[in-house]
Amino acid sequence: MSEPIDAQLKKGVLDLCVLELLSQGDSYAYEIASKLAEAIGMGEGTVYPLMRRLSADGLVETYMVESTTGPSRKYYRLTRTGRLALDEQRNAWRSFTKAVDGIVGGKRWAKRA
Amino acid sequence: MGEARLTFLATLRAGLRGAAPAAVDDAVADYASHFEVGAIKGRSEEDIVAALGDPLILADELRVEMRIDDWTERRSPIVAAKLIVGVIGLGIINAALAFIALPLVCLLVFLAVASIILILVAGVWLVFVGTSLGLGQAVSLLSGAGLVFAAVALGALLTLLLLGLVNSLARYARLHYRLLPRSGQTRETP
Repeated sequence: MSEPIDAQLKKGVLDLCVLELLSQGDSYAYEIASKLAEAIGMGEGTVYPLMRRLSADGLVETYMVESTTGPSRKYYRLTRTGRLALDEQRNAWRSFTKAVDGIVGGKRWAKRA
Repeated sequence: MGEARLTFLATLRAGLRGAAPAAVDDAVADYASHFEVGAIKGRSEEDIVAALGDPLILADELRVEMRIDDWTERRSPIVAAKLIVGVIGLGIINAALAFIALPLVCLLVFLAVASIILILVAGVWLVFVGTSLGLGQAVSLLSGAGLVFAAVALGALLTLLLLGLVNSLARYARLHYRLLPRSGQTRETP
Protein backbone atom coordinates (compact mmCIF):
# COMPACT_ATOMS: atom_id res chain seq x y z
CA MET A 1 0.00 0.00 0.00
CA SER A 2 2.75 2.44 -0.91
CA GLU A 3 0.73 5.19 -2.48
CA PRO A 4 2.16 8.67 -3.00
CA ILE A 5 0.96 10.86 -0.15
CA ASP A 6 -0.49 13.53 -2.45
CA ALA A 7 -2.70 10.90 -4.13
CA GLN A 8 -3.99 9.89 -0.71
CA LEU A 9 -4.69 13.49 0.23
CA LYS A 10 -6.52 14.20 -3.03
CA LYS A 11 -8.69 11.13 -2.75
CA GLY A 12 -10.05 12.32 0.55
CA VAL A 13 -11.19 15.66 -0.80
CA LEU A 14 -12.61 14.70 -4.21
CA ASP A 15 -16.18 14.58 -2.95
CA LEU A 16 -15.79 17.90 -1.17
CA CYS A 17 -14.34 19.54 -4.31
CA VAL A 18 -17.17 18.31 -6.54
CA LEU A 19 -19.84 19.40 -4.06
CA GLU A 20 -18.15 22.79 -3.66
CA LEU A 21 -17.99 23.30 -7.45
CA LEU A 22 -21.65 22.39 -7.81
CA SER A 23 -22.62 24.78 -5.02
CA GLN A 24 -21.25 27.58 -7.20
CA GLY A 25 -23.60 26.54 -10.00
CA ASP A 26 -24.96 23.53 -11.84
CA SER A 27 -22.46 21.93 -14.15
CA TYR A 28 -21.83 18.98 -16.45
CA ALA A 29 -19.28 16.25 -15.94
CA TYR A 30 -16.81 17.46 -18.57
CA GLU A 31 -16.56 20.84 -16.91
CA ILE A 32 -16.19 19.37 -13.42
CA ALA A 33 -13.53 16.97 -14.72
CA SER A 34 -11.53 19.73 -16.42
CA LYS A 35 -11.56 21.89 -13.31
CA LEU A 36 -10.47 19.04 -11.05
CA ALA A 37 -7.85 17.85 -13.54
CA GLU A 38 -6.39 21.34 -13.64
CA ALA A 39 -6.64 22.06 -9.92
CA ILE A 40 -5.53 18.78 -8.35
CA GLY A 41 -4.34 16.67 -11.29
CA MET A 42 -7.16 14.14 -11.17
CA GLY A 43 -7.60 11.87 -14.19
CA GLU A 44 -10.65 13.20 -16.04
CA GLY A 45 -12.21 9.75 -16.35
CA THR A 46 -12.54 9.42 -12.57
CA VAL A 47 -15.32 12.00 -12.51
CA TYR A 48 -17.87 9.55 -13.92
CA PRO A 49 -17.64 6.83 -11.26
CA LEU A 50 -17.56 9.69 -8.75
CA MET A 51 -20.72 11.37 -10.09
CA ARG A 52 -22.43 8.00 -10.25
CA ARG A 53 -21.72 7.45 -6.59
CA LEU A 54 -22.75 10.95 -5.48
CA SER A 55 -25.94 10.46 -7.43
CA ALA A 56 -26.58 7.01 -5.90
CA ASP A 57 -26.11 8.57 -2.46
CA GLY A 58 -28.67 11.25 -3.33
CA LEU A 59 -26.22 14.15 -3.00
CA VAL A 60 -26.65 15.27 -6.62
CA GLU A 61 -29.36 14.89 -9.25
CA THR A 62 -29.26 15.19 -13.04
CA TYR A 63 -31.27 16.95 -15.72
CA MET A 64 -30.76 17.26 -19.46
CA VAL A 65 -30.12 20.57 -21.18
CA GLU A 66 -30.33 21.05 -24.94
CA SER A 67 -27.10 22.43 -26.33
CA THR A 68 -26.78 24.67 -29.35
CA THR A 69 -23.33 23.33 -30.18
CA GLY A 70 -23.91 19.60 -29.89
CA PRO A 71 -25.95 16.84 -28.24
CA SER A 72 -27.89 17.64 -25.07
CA ARG A 73 -25.82 17.66 -21.90
CA LYS A 74 -26.40 15.97 -18.59
CA TYR A 75 -26.24 18.63 -15.88
CA TYR A 76 -25.71 17.94 -12.20
CA ARG A 77 -27.15 19.95 -9.34
CA LEU A 78 -26.86 19.65 -5.58
CA THR A 79 -29.81 18.23 -3.70
CA ARG A 80 -30.78 19.34 -0.21
CA THR A 81 -28.90 16.34 1.18
CA GLY A 82 -25.95 17.37 -0.98
CA ARG A 83 -25.91 20.85 0.54
CA LEU A 84 -26.00 19.45 4.05
CA ALA A 85 -23.18 17.05 3.18
CA LEU A 86 -21.17 19.94 1.75
CA ASP A 87 -21.57 22.03 4.91
CA GLU A 88 -20.52 19.10 7.02
CA GLN A 89 -17.50 18.20 4.88
CA ARG A 90 -16.41 21.82 4.55
CA ASN A 91 -16.43 22.26 8.32
CA ALA A 92 -14.54 19.02 8.78
CA TRP A 93 -12.00 20.13 6.16
CA ARG A 94 -11.47 23.53 7.79
CA SER A 95 -10.96 22.23 11.28
CA PHE A 96 -8.70 19.49 9.93
CA THR A 97 -6.45 21.83 7.92
CA LYS A 98 -6.31 24.22 10.86
CA ALA A 99 -5.18 21.42 13.14
CA VAL A 100 -2.59 20.17 10.64
CA ASP A 101 -1.31 23.70 10.00
CA GLY A 102 -0.88 24.09 13.72
CA ILE A 103 1.48 21.13 13.69
CA VAL A 104 3.19 21.60 10.34
CA GLY A 105 3.81 25.36 10.64
CA GLY A 106 3.69 25.55 14.43
CA LYS A 107 6.34 27.73 16.10
CA ARG A 108 5.76 26.28 19.55
CA TRP A 109 7.49 23.10 18.53
CA ALA A 110 10.32 24.80 16.67
CA LYS A 111 11.22 26.84 19.76
CA ARG A 112 11.72 23.80 21.89
CA ALA A 113 14.05 22.11 19.41
CA MET B 1 -15.22 9.40 -35.09
CA GLY B 2 -11.55 8.52 -34.72
CA GLU B 3 -9.71 5.36 -33.86
CA ALA B 4 -8.67 6.54 -30.37
CA ARG B 5 -12.24 7.24 -29.31
CA LEU B 6 -13.58 3.98 -30.70
CA THR B 7 -10.86 1.95 -29.00
CA PHE B 8 -11.43 3.68 -25.66
CA LEU B 9 -15.20 3.18 -25.74
CA ALA B 10 -14.91 -0.44 -26.92
CA THR B 11 -12.38 -1.25 -24.17
CA LEU B 12 -14.61 0.39 -21.57
CA ARG B 13 -17.63 -1.59 -22.78
CA ALA B 14 -15.63 -4.82 -22.74
CA GLY B 15 -14.48 -4.04 -19.19
CA LEU B 16 -18.11 -3.56 -18.10
CA ARG B 17 -19.25 -6.89 -19.53
CA GLY B 18 -21.58 -8.67 -17.14
CA ALA B 19 -23.08 -5.52 -15.64
CA ALA B 20 -26.71 -4.51 -16.29
CA PRO B 21 -27.00 -3.52 -20.00
CA ALA B 22 -28.82 -0.25 -19.24
CA ALA B 23 -26.13 0.82 -16.75
CA VAL B 24 -23.39 -0.10 -19.24
CA ASP B 25 -25.05 1.97 -21.98
CA ASP B 26 -25.37 4.88 -19.55
CA ALA B 27 -21.70 4.75 -18.62
CA VAL B 28 -20.50 4.43 -22.22
CA ALA B 29 -22.78 7.33 -23.24
CA ASP B 30 -21.20 9.47 -20.49
CA TYR B 31 -17.71 8.91 -21.88
CA ALA B 32 -18.91 9.31 -25.48
CA SER B 33 -20.28 12.74 -24.58
CA HIS B 34 -16.95 13.56 -22.93
CA PHE B 35 -15.34 13.08 -26.34
CA GLU B 36 -18.08 15.17 -28.00
CA VAL B 37 -17.54 18.10 -25.65
CA GLY B 38 -13.77 17.75 -25.93
CA ALA B 39 -14.01 17.88 -29.72
CA ILE B 40 -16.07 21.06 -29.50
CA LYS B 41 -13.39 22.56 -27.24
CA GLY B 42 -10.84 21.72 -29.92
CA ARG B 43 -8.99 18.91 -28.18
CA SER B 44 -7.61 15.94 -30.07
CA GLU B 45 -9.00 12.48 -29.31
CA GLU B 46 -5.54 11.27 -28.32
CA ASP B 47 -5.26 14.05 -25.76
CA ILE B 48 -8.71 13.25 -24.34
CA VAL B 49 -7.88 9.53 -24.13
CA ALA B 50 -4.68 10.34 -22.25
CA ALA B 51 -6.53 12.67 -19.86
CA LEU B 52 -9.32 10.15 -19.16
CA GLY B 53 -7.05 7.37 -17.90
CA ASP B 54 -7.08 3.59 -18.34
CA PRO B 55 -10.58 2.50 -19.49
CA LEU B 56 -10.23 -0.92 -17.86
CA ILE B 57 -9.51 0.59 -14.44
CA LEU B 58 -12.41 3.01 -14.91
CA ALA B 59 -14.60 0.01 -15.81
CA ASP B 60 -13.55 -1.76 -12.60
CA GLU B 61 -14.52 1.26 -10.51
CA LEU B 62 -17.80 1.75 -12.33
CA ARG B 63 -18.63 -1.91 -11.85
CA VAL B 64 -18.03 -1.77 -8.13
CA GLU B 65 -20.27 1.31 -7.95
CA MET B 66 -22.97 -0.56 -9.88
CA ARG B 67 -22.65 -3.54 -7.56
CA ILE B 68 -22.90 -1.35 -4.47
CA ASP B 69 -26.12 0.02 -6.01
CA ASP B 70 -27.38 -3.53 -6.54
CA TRP B 71 -26.46 -4.39 -2.98
CA THR B 72 -28.37 -1.45 -1.50
CA GLU B 73 -31.38 -2.46 -3.57
CA ARG B 74 -31.30 -6.21 -3.15
CA ARG B 75 -29.49 -7.99 -0.34
CA SER B 76 -29.02 -11.42 -1.88
CA PRO B 77 -26.05 -13.77 -1.46
CA ILE B 78 -25.34 -13.64 -5.21
CA VAL B 79 -25.22 -9.84 -5.26
CA ALA B 80 -22.97 -9.95 -2.19
CA ALA B 81 -20.62 -12.46 -3.85
CA LYS B 82 -20.39 -10.30 -6.98
CA LEU B 83 -19.64 -7.24 -4.85
CA ILE B 84 -16.88 -9.07 -2.97
CA VAL B 85 -15.29 -10.29 -6.21
CA GLY B 86 -15.53 -6.78 -7.66
CA VAL B 87 -13.89 -5.15 -4.65
CA ILE B 88 -11.05 -7.67 -4.72
CA GLY B 89 -10.70 -6.93 -8.46
CA LEU B 90 -10.07 -3.28 -7.61
CA GLY B 91 -6.79 -4.35 -6.07
CA ILE B 92 -7.21 -2.07 -3.06
CA ILE B 93 -7.16 -5.00 -0.69
CA ASN B 94 -3.79 -6.54 -0.16
CA ALA B 95 -3.84 -9.67 -2.36
CA ALA B 96 -2.19 -11.89 0.25
CA LEU B 97 -4.69 -10.75 2.85
CA ALA B 98 -7.60 -11.41 0.49
CA PHE B 99 -6.34 -14.90 -0.28
CA ILE B 100 -5.97 -15.77 3.39
CA ALA B 101 -8.99 -13.94 4.78
CA LEU B 102 -11.55 -14.93 2.16
CA PRO B 103 -11.20 -18.74 2.52
CA LEU B 104 -11.02 -18.29 6.28
CA VAL B 105 -14.28 -16.31 6.36
CA CYS B 106 -15.87 -18.87 4.01
CA LEU B 107 -14.75 -21.71 6.28
CA LEU B 108 -16.10 -19.99 9.39
CA VAL B 109 -19.42 -19.26 7.68
CA PHE B 110 -19.59 -22.87 6.50
CA LEU B 111 -18.90 -24.18 10.02
CA ALA B 112 -21.48 -21.79 11.48
CA VAL B 113 -24.12 -22.86 8.94
CA ALA B 114 -23.28 -26.53 9.50
CA SER B 115 -23.63 -26.24 13.27
CA ILE B 116 -26.89 -24.32 12.94
CA ILE B 117 -28.28 -27.08 10.72
CA LEU B 118 -27.02 -29.68 13.19
CA ILE B 119 -28.79 -27.94 16.09
CA LEU B 120 -31.94 -27.67 13.97
CA VAL B 121 -31.88 -31.35 13.05
CA ALA B 122 -31.19 -32.35 16.65
CA GLY B 123 -34.16 -30.25 17.77
CA VAL B 124 -36.56 -31.81 15.27
CA TRP B 125 -35.19 -35.26 16.10
CA LEU B 126 -35.79 -34.69 19.82
CA VAL B 127 -39.38 -33.62 19.22
CA PHE B 128 -40.17 -36.81 17.35
CA VAL B 129 -38.09 -39.50 19.01
CA GLY B 130 -37.37 -37.93 22.39
CA THR B 131 -39.97 -40.13 24.11
CA SER B 132 -38.29 -43.31 22.90
CA LEU B 133 -35.10 -42.15 24.64
CA GLY B 134 -36.92 -42.38 27.92
CA LEU B 135 -37.66 -38.66 28.13
CA GLY B 136 -41.12 -37.48 29.01
CA GLN B 137 -43.42 -36.16 26.29
CA ALA B 138 -43.25 -32.57 27.54
CA VAL B 139 -39.49 -32.66 28.10
CA SER B 140 -38.70 -33.93 24.61
CA LEU B 141 -41.15 -31.52 23.01
CA LEU B 142 -39.91 -28.48 24.88
CA SER B 143 -36.19 -29.20 24.60
CA GLY B 144 -36.61 -30.06 20.91
CA ALA B 145 -38.49 -26.83 20.24
CA GLY B 146 -35.88 -24.98 22.27
CA LEU B 147 -33.13 -26.25 20.04
CA VAL B 148 -35.09 -25.36 16.89
CA PHE B 149 -35.62 -21.79 18.11
CA ALA B 150 -31.99 -21.54 19.12
CA ALA B 151 -31.00 -22.54 15.58
CA VAL B 152 -33.32 -19.90 14.11
CA ALA B 153 -31.88 -17.24 16.42
CA LEU B 154 -28.30 -18.20 15.56
CA GLY B 155 -29.19 -18.14 11.86
CA ALA B 156 -30.59 -14.61 12.23
CA LEU B 157 -27.46 -13.49 14.10
CA LEU B 158 -25.22 -14.96 11.42
CA THR B 159 -27.21 -13.20 8.69
CA LEU B 160 -26.90 -9.87 10.51
CA LEU B 161 -23.18 -10.41 10.93
CA LEU B 162 -22.69 -11.18 7.23
CA LEU B 163 -24.80 -8.16 6.19
CA GLY B 164 -22.61 -5.96 8.35
CA LEU B 165 -19.47 -7.50 6.91
CA VAL B 166 -20.50 -6.86 3.29
CA ASN B 167 -21.67 -3.33 4.16
CA SER B 168 -18.33 -2.46 5.69
CA LEU B 169 -16.55 -3.94 2.68
CA ALA B 170 -18.57 -1.61 0.42
CA ARG B 171 -17.73 1.36 2.64
CA TYR B 172 -14.06 0.40 2.59
CA ALA B 173 -14.07 0.14 -1.21
CA ARG B 174 -15.51 3.64 -1.52
CA LEU B 175 -13.10 5.07 1.00
CA HIS B 176 -10.21 3.75 -1.03
CA TYR B 177 -11.54 5.00 -4.29
CA ARG B 178 -8.60 5.42 -6.57
CA LEU B 179 -7.56 8.69 -8.04
CA LEU B 180 -6.67 7.82 -11.56
CA PRO B 181 -3.88 9.97 -12.95
CA ARG B 182 -3.52 10.81 -16.60
CA SER B 183 -2.28 7.72 -18.38
CA GLY B 184 1.39 8.03 -19.15
CA GLN B 185 2.10 9.30 -15.66
CA THR B 186 3.26 6.74 -13.16
CA ARG B 187 0.26 4.90 -11.88
CA GLU B 188 -0.24 4.71 -8.18
CA THR B 189 0.43 1.21 -6.97
CA PRO B 190 -2.45 -0.11 -4.91
